[in-house]
Amino acid sequence: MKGIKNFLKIIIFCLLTAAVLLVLGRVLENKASRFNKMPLYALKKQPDVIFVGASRMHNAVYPVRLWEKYGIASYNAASPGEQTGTTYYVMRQLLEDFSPKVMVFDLALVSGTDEISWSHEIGFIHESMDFMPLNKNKIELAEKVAEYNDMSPIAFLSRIYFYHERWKELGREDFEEKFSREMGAELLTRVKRVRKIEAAEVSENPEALKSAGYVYLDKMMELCTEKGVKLVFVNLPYTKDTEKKQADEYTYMMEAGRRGHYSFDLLRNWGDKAPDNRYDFADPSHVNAVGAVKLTDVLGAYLITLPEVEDHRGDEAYSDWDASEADYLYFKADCANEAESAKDFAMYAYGQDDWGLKAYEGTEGLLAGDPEAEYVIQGCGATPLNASYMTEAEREYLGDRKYDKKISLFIEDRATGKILAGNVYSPVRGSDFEEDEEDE
Amino acid sequence: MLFNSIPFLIFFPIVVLLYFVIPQKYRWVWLLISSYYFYMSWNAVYGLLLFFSTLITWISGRLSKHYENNEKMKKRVLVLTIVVNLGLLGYFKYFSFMLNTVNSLLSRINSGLSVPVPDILLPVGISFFTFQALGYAIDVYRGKVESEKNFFRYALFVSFFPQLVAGPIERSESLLKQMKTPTRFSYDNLRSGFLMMLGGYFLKLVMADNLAVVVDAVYGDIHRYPGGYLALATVMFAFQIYGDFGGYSLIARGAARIMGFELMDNFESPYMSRSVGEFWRRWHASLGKWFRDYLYIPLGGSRKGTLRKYINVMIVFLLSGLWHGAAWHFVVWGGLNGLFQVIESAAKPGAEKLASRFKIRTGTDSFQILKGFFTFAAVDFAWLFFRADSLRGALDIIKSMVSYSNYWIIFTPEILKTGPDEKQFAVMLLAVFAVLVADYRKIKGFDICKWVMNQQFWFRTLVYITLLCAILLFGAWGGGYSAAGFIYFRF
Repeated sequence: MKGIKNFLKIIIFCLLTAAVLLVLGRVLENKASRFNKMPLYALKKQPDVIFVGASRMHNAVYPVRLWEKYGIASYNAASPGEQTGTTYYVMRQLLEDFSPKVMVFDLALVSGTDEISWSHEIGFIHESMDFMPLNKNKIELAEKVAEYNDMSPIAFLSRIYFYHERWKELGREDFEEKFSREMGAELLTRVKRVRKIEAAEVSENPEALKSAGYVYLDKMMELCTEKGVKLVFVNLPYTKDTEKKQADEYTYMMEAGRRGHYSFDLLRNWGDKAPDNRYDFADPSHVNAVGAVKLTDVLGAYLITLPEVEDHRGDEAYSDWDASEADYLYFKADCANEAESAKDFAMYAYGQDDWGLKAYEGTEGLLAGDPEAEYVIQGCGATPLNASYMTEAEREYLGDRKYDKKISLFIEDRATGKILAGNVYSPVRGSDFEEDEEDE
Repeated sequence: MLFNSIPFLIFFPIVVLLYFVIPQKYRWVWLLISSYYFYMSWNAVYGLLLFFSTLITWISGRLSKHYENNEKMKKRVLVLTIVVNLGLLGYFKYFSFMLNTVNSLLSRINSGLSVPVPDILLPVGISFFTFQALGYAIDVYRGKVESEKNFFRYALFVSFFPQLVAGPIERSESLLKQMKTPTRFSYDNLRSGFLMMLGGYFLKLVMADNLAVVVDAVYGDIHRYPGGYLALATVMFAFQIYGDFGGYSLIARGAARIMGFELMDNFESPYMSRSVGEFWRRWHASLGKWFRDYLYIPLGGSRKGTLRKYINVMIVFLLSGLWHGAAWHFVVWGGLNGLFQVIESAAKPGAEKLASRFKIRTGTDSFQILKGFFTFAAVDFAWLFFRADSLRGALDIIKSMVSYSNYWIIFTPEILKTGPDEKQFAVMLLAVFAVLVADYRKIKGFDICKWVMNQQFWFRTLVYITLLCAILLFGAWGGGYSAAGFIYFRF
């Protein structure tokens, strides 16, 4: 009897310890992976299109806009710093959990690589794989990245093992469940002048198909073929592109076509939506909100032509995307309200055709002083920018904030005239955006 | 396989589980296999050395039995055993050191000659198992223990994995005897052994390895850090090495207890000592007892007059220094500890007279604390030589500490330049404080482990889980951290 009692005590202790460790791991982990991926798992209807890849994809394609403009039910599952091999395993996991019709992958980090890279940025690797359950995919990926980084695979399989030192930086947000309100994407407001992108005259480079970088592209195509999913290779703009890189990308795209998949050469198909090298980039590799809206539109126009992709607007089953669209507007208005500069404020308003953006100096209506903000504001198709006078409602909205000799910006709903966001900034004369010296 | 490594955390539960599943008769065989696997996981060739040392001392024991009526032969056998075992230890541990010393001397006299120094890999724990095995051979020779007939059971005594690589250096009269007695699973052993292991991991991972960040940074670049930092790092090292070695010993004792074996307490609140002599009875007690029984007493101990006693103390501690490491700074460290004890002993009558003359109440807590403080200062000064990379390095550190005046710097945020942030510093200080409080209570008769063991299941569970969480959260382990070896493994 005593033996059974002791045995039960051991079992209870083990269970309690396991529970505490589980909670501890959940609290300590960096929430980025769950933040980005969990909304996908919460969707009632599966998306037709899932975007995968690294930060360039993560920052360039807005699923909410794809829904709004084309009715495409999509999700952006790309993750910053994600290397091609990692994307393959993420893709494997996503294709076990979902049945999309199309997966879109950016070739950015594949081209020109002579060896398979798994990233030395351990935090990025975790951001990519933390959402995965402990299964064959995760274990295989952990073994690969661990071997590459000369670490123990457990560093990628156990939350506590990797994150236990995060106790020093735990904040209130670590105890709240917060998820992406951008359907996995991330809007960037930074502006950096970069080199103008020129599409070179390229032809196929057979060597590209023998490179180590191609190994996981090959696996991706094989996996998608096996699962009956179409893979679309795209080449998001990178201002430090070389001719060889463009040729390699072209080769991979051609190969995709030969193997029954798709590709979309953005560089040669964006027409008048080409990103402006002065205003549309956050840095040489990433587009900002303005560039992203343009690229999303170009990509959406292509994707909707695919036989696998349908316009689901009005379909009750896809109401999650309607809800996301509505929430996205609140999200952007919230961000605008907290924006640190007039330019950032305008960035959040960019691409919302239903919104008007008003700017005042003091109470006089005018364009914000700095060229970026003007560019963005004009691009917003805002309501009269410089002919109005600050209304009583707008003054009330600002409350105690002093607006004399300052720039005040407002976002209003064009249909109802309701003020959605408003903030006051010091006037900026000239430009505060950074220039990429290397690119100039 | 380090105790603070993932392989050990997988290895140990499997060994324990199978140990209690296997019929009692064969359990020791399983332990022997596990122990050799544990040892050979460092380097399979080491296993041969361990086996050879075991074989020699076992044969010695058998021959001692065989020649029990022939004192001369018995003595020859013992001498041969000691020579072979110490020869092995000398070759692996001291041969390069000796050649380097010879080269240094040759270079000083500008002879233009040098002896090639072979690159000999020091087998883990060789000093520990050699001493344990020699202790058995001497005990059999003295007739204190029976010669073990079963070679493999004896092999388990020498290779028992919890204490194989860093002690405690067990006596055959205790451990070998336990190995002959069948062990049963005991819930009490499990819970107390587990608590000891947790305590050991706390000492090692939370206290020692966090302190090591500062100590390693400062001692790794002694010319960059001024005297204040060096003094602080030296104090921290005293606690680092305590957490490191004390932690190892506690894990070893806990692991052994779970399997039903009792190992000796190697650390008994050493920093609560009020004399260096007392410190050495409390610090690494198993080594101290080994030296006492097999060297100090045979040398004459204190039986041959005061001067001879002092000489014996110095011999023991100089050799103890050499045992800890094949370098002159270890020898100086040992010598200093011996010297402090000689001074204590020589000054004792005078100090007592002074106390009586000035009516100092030596029994008061304040006086005892003062004595404790001076003892710590002396021991810590010696630790400086232990931790320094060389004798020259130690002297440079002392010079820097003496010539430095701005000691307040260690109480300013400047100290954060050594690596850890404010929160890590707070953890270190709390860990040291907690350990000192527990040690203080222990010498006052309150053993916190025993107290926890007497509490209700739910309270004990809370203590275990809290300790586990503290280790997991505040310990230096996991991603980005390579399991730092226990300091004593290299001896």
